[in-house]
Amino acid sequence: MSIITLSGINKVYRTKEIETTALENINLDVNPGEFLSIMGPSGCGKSTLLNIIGLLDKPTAGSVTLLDRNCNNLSDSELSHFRNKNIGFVFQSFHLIPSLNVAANVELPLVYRSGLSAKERRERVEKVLERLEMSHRIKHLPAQLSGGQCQRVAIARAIVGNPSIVLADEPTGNLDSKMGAEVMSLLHRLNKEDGTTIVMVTHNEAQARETDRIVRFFDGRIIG
Amino acid sequence: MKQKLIQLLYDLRHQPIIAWVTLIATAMSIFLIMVVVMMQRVQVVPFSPESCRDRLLLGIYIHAKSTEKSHNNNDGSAGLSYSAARTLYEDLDGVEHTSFITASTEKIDVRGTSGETFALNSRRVDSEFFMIFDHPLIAGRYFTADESASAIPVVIMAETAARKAFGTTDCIGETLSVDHFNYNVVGVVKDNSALAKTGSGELFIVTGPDDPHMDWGNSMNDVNIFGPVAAALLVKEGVDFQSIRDQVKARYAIIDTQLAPEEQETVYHEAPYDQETIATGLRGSNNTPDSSSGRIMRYCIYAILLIVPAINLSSMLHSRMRRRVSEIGVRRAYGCTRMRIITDIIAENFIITLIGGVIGLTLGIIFASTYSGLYEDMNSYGTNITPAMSAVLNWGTVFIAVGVCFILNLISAAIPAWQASRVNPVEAINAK
Ligand SMILES: Nc1ncnc2c1ncn2[C@@H]1O[C@H](COP(=O)(O)OP(=O)(O)O)[C@@H](O)[C@H]1O
Ligand SMILES: [Mg+2]
Repeated sequence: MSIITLSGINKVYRTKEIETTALENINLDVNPGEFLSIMGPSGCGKSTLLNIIGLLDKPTAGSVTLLDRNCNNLSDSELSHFRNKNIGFVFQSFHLIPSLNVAANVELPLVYRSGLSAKERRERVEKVLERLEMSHRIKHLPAQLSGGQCQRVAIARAIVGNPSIVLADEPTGNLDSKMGAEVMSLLHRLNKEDGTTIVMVTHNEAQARETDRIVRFFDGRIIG
Repeated sequence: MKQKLIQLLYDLRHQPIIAWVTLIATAMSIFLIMVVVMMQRVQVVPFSPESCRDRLLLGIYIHAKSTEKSHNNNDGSAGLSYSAARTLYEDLDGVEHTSFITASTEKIDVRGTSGETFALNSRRVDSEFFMIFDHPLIAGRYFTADESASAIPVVIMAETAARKAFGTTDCIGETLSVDHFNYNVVGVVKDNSALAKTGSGELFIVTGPDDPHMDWGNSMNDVNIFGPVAAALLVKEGVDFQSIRDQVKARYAIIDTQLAPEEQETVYHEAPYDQETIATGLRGSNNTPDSSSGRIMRYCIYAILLIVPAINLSSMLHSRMRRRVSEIGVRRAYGCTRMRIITDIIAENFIITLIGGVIGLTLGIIFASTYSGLYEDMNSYGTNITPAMSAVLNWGTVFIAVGVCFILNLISAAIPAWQASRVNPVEAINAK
């Protein structure tokens, strides 16, 4: 049974002048615990696909099923709760909140989850930062961290709520190769140790080859 | 809460101009509003010597005119004569104390042992006056009922006045020349604020039914109803003002009977009046007071004082939020609902408004309690018109200030918060 099922996904962006078809009839199944890479040239719809899987965007047509739940007709607050519980996001440019320190950034998903005391939240944050070897930076602001450290904090934020799916859009795109390799090994560790399903967009052929499966895109379509 | 303070500090560092301007603008608008609120409240909140304002009713005017049948066309209204005041207000059910006094103070020349002649804001009062109005004694005693009934020439002075006349407040038994008549000083009380229009005075001269000063003589009719007298009623705890008014209204019939031979009758204008009516509703002695139009006017002023800064604060919050669009997108991705975005922004803004409010209220209280020029047009004859501290700083003021902050916050934050909640998460995350 797959954890992510996309069937017949179309995404068309309409502006006044033009109509862009970003995705065309996408069918994709991802198995639980799978580490999937998506590759393809710029503008072929990879981010659009990831946003649709992440329930941040709605497809123009087609259905999205995550964890056996059809997500097409969920309300805004149902979508929010679903994301909060089941999905972690890692972005190319980290998107840490600049006014919050590392601990508060990592805590973010837990803030929007009910039933956790401040103490429980703090414990989970500390535990995750320890696991990612970032405990010594817990009080630092994002501006005081290197890019690699920022991405590690972002990964900590993505997994602190124990989601079953992590979506990473070019997570190493802004990092040098050494830091990129560190982030990759971290993602592999999470995939192995926690069984987290990871869908990653990347331009790096070598990184992609280390994952379980590569899906290649061209012009909004899967070509292999 | 802590996160919200952190955000404020962060904004102060990273967007210093907008953040500081927001804080200062909030403080200034709360300051302005609170000064207006306090100017109004000084007229109605109880403070010494009018500590009894919640239970105080005043009969200050009477209005009479020719009857329909009469060939004359007289119409007159003014203060009450002593006898009219007694007819209407003496011994009412549900009233604890009734005092007959001059409605306003007048400047009268006095001279004590210091030899200097100077004018004091003087009020003629009976012995009951000190049962209603709260004038702490420094020396001596209040008037006795006897002194008031038989017009024995005694006076009570306020502290500063006593010092000026005798060089000391220890002047009981001394003789004070009041308008060239000699009076015996029997008491010295604390100085009081002329903002208490009915209870204040620097010199209290004993008066009673036989005092010729309390009657204006026959100005209009044989039955003398006009004079300088006001009746102050201290209503018993829990007694409805309307029940007092009903009794007074019935007593107007007695005066009508007296006026009947002259083909005149009274016109009743809902007397006696409570403090809010006195402060905001009076429309002359020949009209029924109307607090509601004053109240509407006041609310309009408050609304303008709130909405104008709110528009500015709103646009400043909007530009502060524009810097945080990407943050909002990330929060949405991690499960923050639209509603939560709205409530968080409003709560965050409320903290700023409260901090601005504390600054503004503090400034307002300092200003209102020191700058007496603020109240000058309320009382042209008073000298000490600075209100007692308790009149401007009390829980009521604080409560109103918090309420004002809350409303200011709501109307300035609502639109930017709503806009922030509507952004598409994908576009927000990628916004720069
Ligand atoms: N909000 C949008 N409005 C209009 N067109 C868009 C929007 N987002 C993406 N597109 C278009 O959709 C296509 C796919 O974009 P994207 O998914 O970002 O590609 P990738 O991530 O593979 O580089 C591109 O042609 C892009 O211009
Ligand atoms: Mg992309």
